[in-house]
Amino acid sequence: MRAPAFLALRTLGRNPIRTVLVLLGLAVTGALLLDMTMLAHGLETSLGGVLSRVGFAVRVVPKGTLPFVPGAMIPDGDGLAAAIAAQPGVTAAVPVVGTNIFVARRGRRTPAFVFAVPAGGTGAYGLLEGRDLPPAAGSGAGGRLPAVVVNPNMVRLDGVRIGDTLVLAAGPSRGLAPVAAPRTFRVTGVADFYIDLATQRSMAIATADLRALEGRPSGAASLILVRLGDPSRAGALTRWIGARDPRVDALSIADFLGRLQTRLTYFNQFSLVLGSLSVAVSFLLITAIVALSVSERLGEIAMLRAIGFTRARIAALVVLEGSALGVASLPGTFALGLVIAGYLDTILRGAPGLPVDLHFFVLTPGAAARTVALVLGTGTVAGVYPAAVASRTPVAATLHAEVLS
Amino acid sequence: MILRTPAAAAVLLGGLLAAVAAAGPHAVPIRAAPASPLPDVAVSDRTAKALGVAAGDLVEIAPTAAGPWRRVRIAQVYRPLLYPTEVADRDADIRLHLPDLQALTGTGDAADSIVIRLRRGGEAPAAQVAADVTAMGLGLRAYTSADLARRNSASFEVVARFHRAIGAIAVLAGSVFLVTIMTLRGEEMRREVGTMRLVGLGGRTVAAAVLTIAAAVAGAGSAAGVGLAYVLSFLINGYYRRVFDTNLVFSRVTWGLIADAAALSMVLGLAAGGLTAWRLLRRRPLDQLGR
Repeated sequence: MRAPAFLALRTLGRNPIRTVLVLLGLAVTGALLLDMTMLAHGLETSLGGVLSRVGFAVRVVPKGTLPFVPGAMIPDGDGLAAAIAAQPGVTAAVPVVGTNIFVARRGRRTPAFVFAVPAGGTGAYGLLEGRDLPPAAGSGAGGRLPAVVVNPNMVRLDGVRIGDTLVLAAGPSRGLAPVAAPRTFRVTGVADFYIDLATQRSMAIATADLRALEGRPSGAASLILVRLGDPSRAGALTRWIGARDPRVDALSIADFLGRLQTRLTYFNQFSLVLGSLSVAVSFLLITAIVALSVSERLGEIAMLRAIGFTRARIAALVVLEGSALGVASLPGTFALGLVIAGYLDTILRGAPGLPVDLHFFVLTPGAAARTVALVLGTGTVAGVYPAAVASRTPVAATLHAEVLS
Repeated sequence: MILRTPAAAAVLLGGLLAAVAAAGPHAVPIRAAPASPLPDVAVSDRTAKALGVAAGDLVEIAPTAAGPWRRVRIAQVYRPLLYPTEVADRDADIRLHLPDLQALTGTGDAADSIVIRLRRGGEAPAAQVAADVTAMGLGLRAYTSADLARRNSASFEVVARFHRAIGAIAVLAGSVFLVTIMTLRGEEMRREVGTMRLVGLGGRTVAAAVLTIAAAVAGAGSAAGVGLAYVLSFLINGYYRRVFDTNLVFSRVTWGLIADAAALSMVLGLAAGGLTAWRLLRRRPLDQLGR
């Protein structure tokens, strides 16, 4: 195999302009292929990464929904969370209520998403500065103002600072909120809420404070976040939760991403179609180049056959040329692919309603391996037809024609 | 919204439920059943197919899996005119009369939105009415149809930009392909060009010959590309219409697109031909013959 490999590389180096042009073409089509493999599972991988970073292995939601669907609540969320917390291996089960409320500031009310947790220290959001909510429920005890933790958007967009007071209201206007009066909160910290939109205002308050603000009954929760000592026990726990309460779905991170899959069909199908076209164009390009190269070298191939190269070795020589083109195109494929992916990601992330931490194009080891395998496979397969032509070259007739020409 | 058949064997999760006063212009009825004392609902054809139900069947619906369950009768199976963003949505699609939905969810007379139709030829323009409603101080925000279309089209604008960028990359790949093929063709023509020049043909004639070949390759490639585009478009539409059970057009080959692609191909082909001709003519004829 060493002789065919040597000859294949020498052949490619014989005409550098042609080889460079082919590699450039392969780099562009390969880059498109890489981008499509990155896109196929990019959003899913990106979201999975964010969810893993948050650190909760299981999420319990009202049956058939995703977290924070308006109006969807777990009727006895507090009780179910307590039962889950008592299960072996569970280190925390946090019932969360998520809803939209309004921040009254400088004469106007701005909508904001509020994330209500039983107390501080749950890890449902990442504290960036200041203090978390107090550990005891009902942070407004003792005559102090109840605490609120805000996200960086509220600092950036509204100039909110730690120590400021915020008036929170359940409704958008004074006239429509007679049931529950607005309440004043003290900002104690700034936190990362992980899946915020670019300009979304988010904040965390104690569940008891939200219930008092909205006049809603106790017990119900939008979501229960479950942290496990051993995340591999997530499957067993989700089965137990499903059997205990048929009104909820307990989702591991994989289940959660699976539920999102139907909403990501567009990107999966798009990447499949365009990725297939990239492979087809690469195949045609390599086949055309190697076939033309073979047709130019028929005399040389006949000479090799005459000095003892078998048909199989001639075929291997030509197939190796295709494979070598694939290998040589990989650096360009990855360099160009990553640049283009960054540009396309910027375009798609301009879509409204998209969390800032999510990306459409994510380079994973799996995506890289798939691209390498497809490029090398395409290069090798593309060399098969020219190899068949080369191996069938009639030795005497070709050499005779070569001498006459 | 949760929906189940009378036998409670099938539970469709995460249903999308809309309340309507009557069948709107976006619903095409497929089959209707006679009137009945139970509340009537309309079910989309995809939902009916998924649940195995038809007009006249009874099903139970509830706002959550915890209930309360209410028996309703499917009065109509309809085919919704889906937006492109909705084709992959597999949620159940059910429509109720507004009072039935309010009673089911216990939300009193609350509504998510109010649609206002203005009298044709009325004095107040839509924007003024929207501004007046917003200024009433009831905690409402009114939008004109144009405002909503602009807000909702933002996602499509992003997707259109994405498609244009992908198209540019495809053109780049095609250009490199074309230049490569023309370069190879030029290499093949080296001896012929050398002979042509030795028998007295001028550089312009040789360049014209090379450019003619390049134009022919580009033209033939364009024709083949158009044919391939039609075949692929046909296959893509056939496949995705079946997958998503919709009449939406996913791929469309237009005359404008064909003209653009052909013109671009011709320009690129001629540029590649010009480059090849220049490379051929800068060498001496005897060199081209290997002497």
